[in-house]
Amino acid sequence: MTAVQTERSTALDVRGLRVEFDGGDAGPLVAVRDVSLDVGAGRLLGLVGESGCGKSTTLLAMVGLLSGAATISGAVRLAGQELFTADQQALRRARGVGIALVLQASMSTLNPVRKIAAQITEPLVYHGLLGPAAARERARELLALMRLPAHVGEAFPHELSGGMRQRASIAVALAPDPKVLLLDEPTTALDVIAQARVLELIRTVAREREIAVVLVTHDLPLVAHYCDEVAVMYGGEVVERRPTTRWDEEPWHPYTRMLLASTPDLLDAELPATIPGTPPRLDQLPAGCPFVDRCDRALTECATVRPALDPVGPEHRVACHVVRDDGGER
Amino acid sequence: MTMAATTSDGGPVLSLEDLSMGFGARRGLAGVLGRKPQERRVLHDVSLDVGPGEIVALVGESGSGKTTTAQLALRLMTPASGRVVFEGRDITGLTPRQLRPLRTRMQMIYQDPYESLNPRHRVAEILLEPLRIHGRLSGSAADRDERVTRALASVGLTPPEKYKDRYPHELSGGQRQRVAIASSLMLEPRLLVADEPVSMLDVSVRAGILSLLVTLKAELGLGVLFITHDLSTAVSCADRIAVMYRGRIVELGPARSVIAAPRHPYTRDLVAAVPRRGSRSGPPVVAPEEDTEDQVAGEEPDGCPYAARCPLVQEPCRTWTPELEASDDAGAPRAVACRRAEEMTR
Amino acid sequence: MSRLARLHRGGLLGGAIVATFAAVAVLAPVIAPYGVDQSFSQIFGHPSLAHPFGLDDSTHDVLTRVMWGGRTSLSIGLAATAIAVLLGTTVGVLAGYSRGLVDHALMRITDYVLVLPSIPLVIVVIATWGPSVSHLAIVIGLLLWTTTARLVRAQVKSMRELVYVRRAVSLGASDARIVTRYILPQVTPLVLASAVLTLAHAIFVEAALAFLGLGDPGSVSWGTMIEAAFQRTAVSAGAWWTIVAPGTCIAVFILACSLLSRASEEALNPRLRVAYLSARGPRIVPR
Repeated sequence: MTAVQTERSTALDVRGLRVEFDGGDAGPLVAVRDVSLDVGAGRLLGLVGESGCGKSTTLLAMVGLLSGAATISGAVRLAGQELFTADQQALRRARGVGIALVLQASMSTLNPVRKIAAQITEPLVYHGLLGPAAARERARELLALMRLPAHVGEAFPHELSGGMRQRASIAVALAPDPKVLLLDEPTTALDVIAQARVLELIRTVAREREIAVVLVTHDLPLVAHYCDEVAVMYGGEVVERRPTTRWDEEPWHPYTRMLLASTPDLLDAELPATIPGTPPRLDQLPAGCPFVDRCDRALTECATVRPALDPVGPEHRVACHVVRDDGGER
Repeated sequence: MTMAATTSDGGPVLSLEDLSMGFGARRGLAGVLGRKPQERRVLHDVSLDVGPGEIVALVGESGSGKTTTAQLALRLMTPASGRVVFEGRDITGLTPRQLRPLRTRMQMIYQDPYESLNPRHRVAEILLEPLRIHGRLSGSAADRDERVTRALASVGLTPPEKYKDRYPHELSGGQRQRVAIASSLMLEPRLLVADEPVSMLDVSVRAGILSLLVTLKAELGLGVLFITHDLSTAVSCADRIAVMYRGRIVELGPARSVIAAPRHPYTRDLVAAVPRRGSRSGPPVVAPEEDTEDQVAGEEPDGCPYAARCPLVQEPCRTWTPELEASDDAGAPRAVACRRAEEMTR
Repeated sequence: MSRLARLHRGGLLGGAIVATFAAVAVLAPVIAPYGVDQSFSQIFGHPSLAHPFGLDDSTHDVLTRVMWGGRTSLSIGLAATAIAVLLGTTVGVLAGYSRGLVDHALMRITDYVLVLPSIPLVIVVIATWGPSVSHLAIVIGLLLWTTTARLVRAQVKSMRELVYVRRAVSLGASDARIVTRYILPQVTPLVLASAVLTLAHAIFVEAALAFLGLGDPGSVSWGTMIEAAFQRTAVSAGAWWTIVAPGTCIAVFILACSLLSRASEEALNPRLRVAYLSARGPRIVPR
């Protein structure tokens, strides 16, 4: 696979990420199976999928934030530096400083008993990144960057509305000037106007500061509008990867196509479609393509042969036998 | 002012008239020190009808008062002022004991399919429970079995043997929600209040539940009050939409015309901010916020609640008491609470 | 319920020990080697093959008396636990389910019972009423119900807010139905775990009371055995087995109850089990 375009460097490079959970008698459960992603500095990647596809696990695995029941293997490189080394030193240093993570439910990401400004300055001072005065200045800068009024610095999380809280969480995450920002469903709890504001802001900041962003969500249209690329996950794998600039071009992975068709749109004449069936259980993953039971175009080989994520166009890769056979480029 | 819903056999199933509700702030230190506790009004003169065989969507962000409205509709709370009229009968002042027999005719579907079913009961038990509670379970085991099978079939869970003896944790979210719906229908209600019934389900499963609701409302003549924050979901299944902002209904009308031609600035802003599916429509448009974003514990200003954010705001708006004004264009009844609505549509 | 099948090793051990004690207590009349009051040759006879736990000051076989003593101690313990759990659960459910005045009143009563100086009170009651086995069981039971009450109340209070419970309320279910069909089934496992701990506590209190001279003089229990040993100069005679044998039984039994209780807690609340895993962090295998 050719590296991403232009002068922009690859800030985050994930290769062959695999996460297994200890399932006791059932044996190991594979939640994430051979996931590879790369994001350039200043670019936004949307990681899309429904429940159980492994997108949140992927995010947490990148920074090693899973429980002791998990075994993570693969390689994660931050601006060229390996994080998964034997002693995990690089990973520990990168966490929170090189890679910032903002999780769902901003009420639990932020410390409820500390003021916002303090939550920005304290880690900076503690890790010796900045002196107290410089840290305070940075806090002011970040709040302004997130279009938050100055008094928010002196407020507690519960005094802010959902949208402001989320922007405050992002301000806190950006304090140590990370190269990568990982967001897990940052706007699920927000109304559509606050959502649009937060996402606009994230994109602006990412471009300005050359931060690579991975945005995990279940909302495809959202990704189409705010991200540069989308990676669709199903059954623990990436089944499609495409730039959003070519959103309307064929072909699509059947799952992505069906997922889009099931998303309601404001001016639809009728109810959208559904995808029949349910996602596979982690301990019952089929030998071939994970989507084979629900796909409307499955071939015989789909049940037994796992499709590889192959290119079907410029920067567009799909893991599907059917699409390849239909004449995608090799 | 109420908008009469189109009905075929008499009045609306549910009629909310000028409901107002407030929550007093907690006493705490303020009370001890002798300061008057601030009362926050959550609903201001909310009026809405739901007719038989129609789905009315109540759309708003969190804090808009939609959940409170739903609770008042089911008389799980008592309004500070206004009336709740169910099947033509004023139930505002009834005691819990008096309400109990009515409860069979008004049911709620909850947001969380993972929490709304008793984890220790099998599906068949869950379905029969409403009948047991109201002493309507008679007949042999075969009769009961028959009722369970029919209930499962009515929500698309066939073959019934596959589901009858399962526990909730063995079902998917969509299946659980169907069981919840079937269970609520056992008592043959006239009104269904659905509180975000699909927002915790995967996108690919939502349309199934929505289509089920549409089918059932037509078949059974149910009135459905559908609470949601998601405009796209609302417009895909609702007959009429009521948009709420800060405890008031700001716009009301047939779903598709409200979305296609919104009249209230808030509705317009909402519609513009939704990311659209195809790239044929442009990106979401939203005004940058600055200091105008609402904070949680704000004071109640006079005048139109949207004045602080409205792109069309004028000085008089800040003192104008909002009222839902009806208009009837091309026979489609619409209502907007904006003093500039008429001049804007000219 | 397959989680229970994967019990913690400690839980299995605890369960085995408790079961053994229970079996011995029930079968004592049959399996005890000698008669309870059967005399032998030596006062404070040393442990030997014939008398593994030796003889006490009245030349009775200690092993036999320990078995019979277990019967008494366990009966008192079980009876007291039954009373405590029944009372505690009732109070807990009532307090947790009702709001306002009833809850407050019940909780204040609970607090007062907790705050009362229990040992002096018990001494007075037993001294006045008479130290029979049944009196002891009742008094100990009335002492120990508060823990269960608080646990149950907390559980009931949180359950009341669960969606499916609220749904049942909105369906028109009566309070009685909600409590019996929705709340009690979920509360019962918690009560059982609490009961095991209460049993341990009850055994201990019985021994303590006996040691203070308030045990039933007409029956043999672990507590009265220790008390008698002390009274009859076992210490100066160096007859350690007369104290160690019953004392060890008490200690081991209480330990077993604790293990069992902790295991059932973890079985009921799976989150407890993985808590230690979070502290450890994942295994990372570099490529």
